[in-house]
Amino acid sequence: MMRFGNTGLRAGVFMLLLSILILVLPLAAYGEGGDGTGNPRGVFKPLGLVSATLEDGTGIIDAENVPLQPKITMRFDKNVVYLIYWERNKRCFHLYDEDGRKHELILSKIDETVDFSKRQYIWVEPAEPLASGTRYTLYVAPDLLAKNGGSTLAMTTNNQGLRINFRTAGEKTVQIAPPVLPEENTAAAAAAGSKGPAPEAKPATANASLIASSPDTSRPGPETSGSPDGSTACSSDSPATGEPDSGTATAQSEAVPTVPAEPAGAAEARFAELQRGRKMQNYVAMSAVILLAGWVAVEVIRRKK
Amino acid sequence: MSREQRMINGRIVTGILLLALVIGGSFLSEKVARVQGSQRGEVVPVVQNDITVAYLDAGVIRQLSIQERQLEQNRDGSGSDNEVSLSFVLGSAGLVDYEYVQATGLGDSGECRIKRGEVEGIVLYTNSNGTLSMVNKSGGNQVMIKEVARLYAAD
Repeated sequence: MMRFGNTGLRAGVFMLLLSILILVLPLAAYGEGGDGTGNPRGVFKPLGLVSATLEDGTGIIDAENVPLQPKITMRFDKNVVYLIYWERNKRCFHLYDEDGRKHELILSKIDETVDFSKRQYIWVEPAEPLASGTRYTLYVAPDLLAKNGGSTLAMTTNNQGLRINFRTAGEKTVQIAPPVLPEENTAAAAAAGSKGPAPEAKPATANASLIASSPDTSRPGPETSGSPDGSTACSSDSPATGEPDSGTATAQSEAVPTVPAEPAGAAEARFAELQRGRKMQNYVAMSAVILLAGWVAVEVIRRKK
Repeated sequence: MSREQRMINGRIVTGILLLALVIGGSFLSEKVARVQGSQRGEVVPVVQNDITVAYLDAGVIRQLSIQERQLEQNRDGSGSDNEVSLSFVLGSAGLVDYEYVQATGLGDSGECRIKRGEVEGIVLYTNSNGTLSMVNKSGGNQVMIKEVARLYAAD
């Protein structure tokens, strides 16, 4: 009877711990993907780039012979396609050539409600074919934000953002380009585009600088017959709002875009605080794992006896 | 097999079944909530060429409204927490490459087709009952659709 009582107690404790683990582990896994709501004290895990590859799976970082119309798959370690932050995140991507000219990009995502497994992927491709034999820099601003609202790319790039350099295939052709009027500060403009409001300037061409579209290519297309409701005056293909920068070429004296304006000391303090929070989280997690492992070891030893 | 072992095995099986039930129930309840929300106009699917790319509800609209005002703060700065421009909504859903948007209303509350160039002055409002209405701000705040049920974007 006593033996049965001990066993029952032990089984009860086991079930209790199992229940706690069952409840806690999914939450931890959910948080790992950056899908939690974060916490009000601003302790978030950092957002980082996992990989940047071409369609054939080869890495594009410092790659040579990149196709002239590359579709770059960027995988991050957290959800970066959240509907609420997508417009903000779109403004973090910029492509520059070796002369510092900015090129238009097409950004694609698959919403998490459609395919949860693609929540960490962003597809980037230039709106127009790139020049052959030219070095390009894909710059991702440090403000790229995960769904949790607190994890930013700044945390893994020391507030610098990401720079992915690659060179297109072929040999560089010398062409006489029309004179380009230098702007005051191209990099500052890029930083402004990634951090805050977009300039109102719109490109004259269709498909402006940042265009988000669904990645699917097979589209049956509905019947489009019938007169449109409302006025029919506007039939132009004007770009939608939320496009950050004009598609006009800008000149820059440096081959590689300069670093956008560094945040002030407040940002650094925040970064340090986030790092401290991250360390604390790691300590707590390690302590929990050690306690759990110790408990399991004790149980095994007692059962063996 | 001893009685204790059988008991433990039984508990493990019960636990696994419980887990499966909880997971299955969660998926089912989500599906039911989505269908019922769509029928009541509280969940608005955004569809591009027959593929649902996002779901909107009043909470999403409120959050998008905040985001839009933060990003566009150097512009007019107008607007409330309950309104967001249709172009911002579509952009957030990942749609820009479209020719027109077709908004369908609940029941007989209408349907309208908006060309891409006409999207600018149109906003989505959250109603007190959790539904969304579509208003043409540039057209004197004319209510185009009282309760939006679906947004369809097509090439």
